[in-house]
Amino acid sequence: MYPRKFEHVSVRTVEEALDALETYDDAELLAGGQSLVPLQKTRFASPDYLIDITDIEELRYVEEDENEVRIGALAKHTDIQQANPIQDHVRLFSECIGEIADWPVRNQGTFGGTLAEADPSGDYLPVMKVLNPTIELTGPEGNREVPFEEFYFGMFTVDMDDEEILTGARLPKLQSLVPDAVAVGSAYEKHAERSGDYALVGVAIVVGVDTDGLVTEARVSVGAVGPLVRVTDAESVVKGTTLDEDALNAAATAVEKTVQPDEEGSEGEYKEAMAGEFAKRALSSAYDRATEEL
Amino acid sequence: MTDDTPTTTVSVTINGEEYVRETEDRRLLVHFLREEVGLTGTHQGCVVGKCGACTVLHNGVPKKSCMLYAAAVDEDEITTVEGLAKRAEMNGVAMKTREGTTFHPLQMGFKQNHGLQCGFCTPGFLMTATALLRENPDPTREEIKSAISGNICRCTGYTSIVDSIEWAAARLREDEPAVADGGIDSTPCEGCNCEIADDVEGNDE
Ligand SMILES: Cc1cc2nc3c(=O)[nH]c(=O)nc-3n(C[C@H](O)[C@H](O)[C@H](O)COP(=O)(O)OP(=O)(O)OC[C@H]3O[C@@H](n4cnc5c(N)ncnc54)[C@H](O)[C@@H]3O)c2cc1C
Ligand code: FES
Ligand code: FES
Repeated sequence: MYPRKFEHVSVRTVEEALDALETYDDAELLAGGQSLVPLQKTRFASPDYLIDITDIEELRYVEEDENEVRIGALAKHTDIQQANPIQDHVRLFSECIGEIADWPVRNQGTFGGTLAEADPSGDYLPVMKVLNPTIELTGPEGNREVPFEEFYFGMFTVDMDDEEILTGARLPKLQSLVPDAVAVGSAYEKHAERSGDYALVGVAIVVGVDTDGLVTEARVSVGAVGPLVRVTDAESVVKGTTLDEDALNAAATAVEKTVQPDEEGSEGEYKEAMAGEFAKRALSSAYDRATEEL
Repeated sequence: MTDDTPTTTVSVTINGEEYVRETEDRRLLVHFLREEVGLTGTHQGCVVGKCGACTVLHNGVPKKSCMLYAAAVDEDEITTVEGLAKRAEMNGVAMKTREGTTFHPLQMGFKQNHGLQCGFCTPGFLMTATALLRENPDPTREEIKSAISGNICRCTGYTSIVDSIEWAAARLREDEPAVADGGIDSTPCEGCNCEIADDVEGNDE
């Protein structure tokens, strides 16, 4: 369990990091290391140089704008989970982070590292799918912004050049996703074998309601079951309902039909069924949270 | 070390003392602590971030030392289980066993409440619990369980660990002055009429 030899290069600013990426061939950025260190130990990653960006303080922030919350790439999971703008305006993300690994890992793992890694069983992806934040990158050619929808190609693959650094992202406040609603609720539900394990199913939900408690708009996304998906059929069947039993069942059926688990046979069927079940649970709690605010 | 092995001179404050060591860039913090500094209280279990035996405080925050490179904590502060008693002394909350060993209330809690059997996992639990009680002096049992969910114990079944942490939390909230040598604490223990609360040998019956 020892990584192959590498040289540790410490940088303190984004500029230094960009210079280092240009100078050193076969280099990887080290942010929290909670994905990279295990990959190095198992020799799935054996870079010659590690450019340690952990101490770039300018990229460690969680700040609120009018319609957005801005998160720096080096904000730790715990920083984000506890930040008021996230708890107040992007609740499901705080809830999602509470499901990642355990406290010590969340104290070290970073926002940017998690987005860059794009682990298909990671908890961020379904949340990012419903939020579609703007991802901020910088590279030798300057700064660049991409919506998450274009940034994320598929598992472990994102639109990012070898010499680029992810500097942060801007997450929309939930209310701005459902402009016609008078109240909004959100939820993240994870199904895993044990607490702290990677997800078997992860479901992210945003629900907007009108004054009568009818759903004006919903966003439903499922991760860890085959490709990351938005389940638009589930979104349309719950629209205009009070999310009664029938609406929840119809949504669950839509989810089960849409997801395409990688596993065959009973394992795949199990994941499909759990995706439906956890979508129901998440829809219910998001809806309850929305109507509580009426 | 051969010439082509990249090394870094790491200067790190561990339990209040500064250590400077030249170490391989790929050296994990857990191995640095155990093999280069000689502090073997921090245990190595899984080395993949799952068991928590290697938990230390990094600038006051609990982290798994098998998931950090030593070179990455240069100029930082680390607290290991060896530093707990000293820390308790500094904060005026230290306790003494009858044998005269100085303990942090959490260590005493584990001793009193059978929070350990083989003890392999204990340093990790103690470090996580130390950070928890600083952040939240009055945690519920659920909050304790959530905080220690990254620490695995194969022996105790956890109930006694949660009891131990609750016990220490209660002691720390009472804000008792440092307990005098001999383990005499002014609070009578529950369940027996003796006056010695913190000496398990004295009380056990
Ligand atoms: C025991 C354990 C359990 C875990 N369980 C979960 C879980 O349940 N759910 C979950 O979602 N995650 C889980 N994780 C992963 C954890 O969330 C990681 O923190 C995260 O995936 C990676 O973040 P990091 O900062 O540690 O990245 P690193 O490991 O430092 O980096 C990951 C990759 O991203 C690159 N990178 C890092 N930062 C940047 C940047 N700013 N710009 C460009 N590239 C960058 C690196 O070069 C590397 O290739 C777990 C990890 C562990 C150790
Ligand atoms: S040895 Fe570090 S978590 Fe197990
Ligand atoms: S006491 Fe033996 S592993 Fe916890």
